[in-house]
Amino acid sequence: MRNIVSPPPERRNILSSYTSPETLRDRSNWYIKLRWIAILIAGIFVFSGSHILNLHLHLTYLTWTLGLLLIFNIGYFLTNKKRRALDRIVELGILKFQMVMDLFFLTILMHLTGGVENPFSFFYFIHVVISSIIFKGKEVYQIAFLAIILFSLEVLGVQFGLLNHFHILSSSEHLHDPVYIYMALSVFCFVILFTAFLASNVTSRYRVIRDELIHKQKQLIVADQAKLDFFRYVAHEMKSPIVTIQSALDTVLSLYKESLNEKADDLLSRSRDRSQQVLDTVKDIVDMTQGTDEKPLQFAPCNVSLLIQNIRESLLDEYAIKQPNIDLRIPDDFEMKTYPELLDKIISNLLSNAIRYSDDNCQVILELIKNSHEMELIIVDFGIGISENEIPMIFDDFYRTAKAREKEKIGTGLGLAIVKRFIDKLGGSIFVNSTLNEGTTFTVKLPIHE
Amino acid sequence: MKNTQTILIIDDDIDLVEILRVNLEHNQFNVLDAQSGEHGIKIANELSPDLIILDVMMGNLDEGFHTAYALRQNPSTQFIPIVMLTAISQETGYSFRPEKDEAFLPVDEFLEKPVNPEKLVDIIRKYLPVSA
Repeated sequence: MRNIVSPPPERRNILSSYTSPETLRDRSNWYIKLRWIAILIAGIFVFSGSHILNLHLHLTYLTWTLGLLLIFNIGYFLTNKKRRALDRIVELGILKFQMVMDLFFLTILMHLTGGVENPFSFFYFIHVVISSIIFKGKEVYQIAFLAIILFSLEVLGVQFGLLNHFHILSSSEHLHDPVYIYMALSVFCFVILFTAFLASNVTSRYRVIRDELIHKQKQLIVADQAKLDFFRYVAHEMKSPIVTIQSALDTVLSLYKESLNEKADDLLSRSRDRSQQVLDTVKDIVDMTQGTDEKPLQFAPCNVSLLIQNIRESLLDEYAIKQPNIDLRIPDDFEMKTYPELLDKIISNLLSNAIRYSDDNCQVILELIKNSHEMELIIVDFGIGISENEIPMIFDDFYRTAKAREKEKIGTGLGLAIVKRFIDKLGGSIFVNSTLNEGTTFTVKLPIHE
Repeated sequence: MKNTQTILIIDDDIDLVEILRVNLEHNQFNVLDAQSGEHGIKIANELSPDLIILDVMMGNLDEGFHTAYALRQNPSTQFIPIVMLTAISQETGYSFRPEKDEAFLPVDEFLEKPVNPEKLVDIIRKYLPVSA
């Protein structure tokens, strides 16, 4: 209801929060991982080039270079390990330093393996793509230009005899033809810049979409809360008048039954049942929205054994006409920390269902098994059961099985939905095992917090 | 065999007060009523009813509770049995099992509305047996 459509002003914060120091530190970690792989692959290339392709590689220099890169990465890894994110500028600096050092290493590697003779220069493109993932816009182009400068310096330096050339092929004279050099350099520049453009474009679009999604998700949470607030408000507003109507009908039917004529009695009884139906739904909706209001639920120690005994008492009272046998198999004074209100609703809903959907004098068993980290509540009845194709739907809001509707005309279909919701809230799980006309077993598993 | 026991109903829902009155008068009780906690305390003080039916939720969320505490603290009303009625048990965050919270909840009975009229009378009779 409030402010669901128009983007709220905190939008800016959402966008900038994605280059937060934490994000940058995470990118740093990712980049370090990537570098392990790069070192491994470079090692494999050097090894296979020298031993399989029989290239004239200067293994000493190469090993030194790769070794140094390895030491650098170990250094990055150790300093980055489990550290807190620093200032945003510092984090960006760390990333830039790594990227620049990598370009230097790559240029040295390329130089040692024949320079323009060697397709190692393709790795510059990977660096540009990586930098578009790590940085945005301007910085990506800075990296691209640095790659161009380093590559050109190496190629031109060799060309003009300023740098020593390491031959790896036996016949590579044509590769040192000025025309070839000129073509190689211009294509390199163009492709590097184009890669920078494409990659930074795609990643920035991706970021916009992702931020939009995150923003939308936040809006959804707000809208969902507004919906719950509305439901709770409606339920509360409806409850008082219905309670009053119900009380009036109860009182008339109880005090003046003899003086009512048969038809009036019948109509009033029907009204009473229907108002009960509305009341049940309202109560269930109130339950469902429980803990969503300003008053958070209390996570507190709870004597589960006592809670269960109390539920048993009140159910025996509520279903006195049916004379159910509620057999408790629970440890004495079992205590754990939980949300007692939620646990109460879970157990009372499951137990009252077990009674409601069984015949008079039915047997209902509640067993509590305490394991080391979780407790298991097993509720067994020998009632109408649930057909196999209906089992997937029983936890849906307002769903009632055909058999259930036949057995108990009035029911909200919200009981199990509430149970499921509350179990989720407590971090537990629920399982059903049922055979039509034979009975149902619900197993609830809840984590134990000491 | 005329019953002269008096019950005070403190509830701001006039319709509900009337419904309770019909039931209680039918069962030979005298009925007094008050629409607010404050008013209820005053009447309890002046007329010393034999039992008080108190609604949890009046104007503000905790008014019923505060009324119960005030009645318990006043020497002239502290021994009057209190039957508390509530519309929605979760709403206040208080625990509604008096046996667990005796110190916390100074009332004798806690019932969720709507209460079956016969059941209500049965409960009242626990505290006010039919006088000869």
